[in-house]
Amino acid sequence: MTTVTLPPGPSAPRFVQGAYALATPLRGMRRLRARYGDAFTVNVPIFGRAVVISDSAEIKQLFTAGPDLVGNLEPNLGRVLGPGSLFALTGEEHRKQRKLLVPPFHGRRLAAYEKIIEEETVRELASWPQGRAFATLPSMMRVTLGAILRAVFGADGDELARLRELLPSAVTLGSRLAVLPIPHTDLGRWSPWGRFWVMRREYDAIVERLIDKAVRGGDLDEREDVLALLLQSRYDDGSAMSHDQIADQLLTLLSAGHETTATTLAWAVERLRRHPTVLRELVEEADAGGSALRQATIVEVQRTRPVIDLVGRQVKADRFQLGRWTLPKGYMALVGISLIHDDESLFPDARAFDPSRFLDARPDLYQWIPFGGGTRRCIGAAFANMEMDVVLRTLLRDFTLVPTTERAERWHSRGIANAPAKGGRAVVRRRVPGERPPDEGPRPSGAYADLQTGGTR
Amino acid sequence: MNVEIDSVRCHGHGRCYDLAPGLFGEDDEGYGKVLGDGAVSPDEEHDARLAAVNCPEGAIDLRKES
Repeated sequence: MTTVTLPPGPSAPRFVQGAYALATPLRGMRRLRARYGDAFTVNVPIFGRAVVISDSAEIKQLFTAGPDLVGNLEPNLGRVLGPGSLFALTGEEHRKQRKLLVPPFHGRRLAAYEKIIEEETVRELASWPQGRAFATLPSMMRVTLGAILRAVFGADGDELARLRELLPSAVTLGSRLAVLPIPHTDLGRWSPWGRFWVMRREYDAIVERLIDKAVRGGDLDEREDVLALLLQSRYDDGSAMSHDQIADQLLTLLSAGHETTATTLAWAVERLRRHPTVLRELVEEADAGGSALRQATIVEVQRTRPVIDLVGRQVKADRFQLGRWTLPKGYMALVGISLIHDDESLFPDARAFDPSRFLDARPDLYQWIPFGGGTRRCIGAAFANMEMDVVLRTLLRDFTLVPTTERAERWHSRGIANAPAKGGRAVVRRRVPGERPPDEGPRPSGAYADLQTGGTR
Repeated sequence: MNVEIDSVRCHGHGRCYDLAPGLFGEDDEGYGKVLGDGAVSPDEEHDARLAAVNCPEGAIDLRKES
């Protein structure tokens, strides 16, 4: 059998390395790369010993390796979201469930969500204060939660109102717990895990009521939401998904589909206020009905501020040859997302925020990997992209985002996602009150000229 | 050059129409489809290859015209 070959790495005990990784997301990884090169071996909580890679050829090889060679990480988010979660499923089961879940987040239905998301955005932005600094992340969370709730459950109702309150605290807590070991003894209902399971039981009860309503409603085959889709799906033997499996999958889509997108939007606000020229061009483009620069900006925000720092696979074969390394069975291979995103050979002047680099060229999806890659890449990537586009378009249309010379916000780990430390603080002014949006009627050109901010041409 | 999508292998990952929107589109359900007759002009060959290597299912076939 081939000899195991692993890259070098620090020798500090697991607890110390883990504490370091959690306390300094991103910076810790950059220091390790500076010291050991583009691949290194670490010893961290949850995963144990793992190889971190950041070379694009090795990343591509890992993402395209078949399920007989590598599978999903273990433990994974399934321990918080449940065994029916896409994160927990493997092999053929994962493949089938994934294919089933494609239509609600793509194609015709994707376009239908644009209007819903614009409504959610307008409703939330109505509460924004003018002329004083506030964190935008909580607002972005409410918008993206509202959007994913409607996509997953269809219409609104009492149950959804309760989920709007319950999910943010459950996701915040679950996200922190996801990176902590599960205690072997029950520490009681006031311990973090105890509190989490109380919320989970309430969530399960709400989903059970929603399922009950949906089945009694008798219009399942006319509904386009994910709940209706899963209720109607059948395994090859004709059996239906259990309600537990459905609850796990819905919670997966709800939690994966809102915090990450909201955090990226908060970073977009943070970045744009510090790049007034880009900001001004975006406003001009939006006013003229364009979208190319906005799309490139979203790609660049995700490159420079990826909210998830690591994605990985676990070796299933006896040996897995990954570029220069040979990993033994059971070993984790983690991809350093921020490490490849600031690789100078792929993105010249990588630390600079410059959306124009993506104006004419789509990034290779083994080099630009905020959504992960391969067959387990984020299923909601297109949904998230559309959502961020609509929220930013609406924000730029209705508000003037005031630029700042304050220093960049630091990274703050929320457990799973890395958020701007001050929540993407903004100072805004509403644009020309009472004026109708451009698509509802003509507008004299130059009407916004006196409200344009910052920068010189 | 010609492109073709094997619709059995396609799992709707959407990389093709994201990377090469001139050659591929999505159907109503979000699965990939070839736009037009699949003929690739010389200046689209780079996009076609990018889409093919980025397809996680290996569902895109590139064929040199005979």
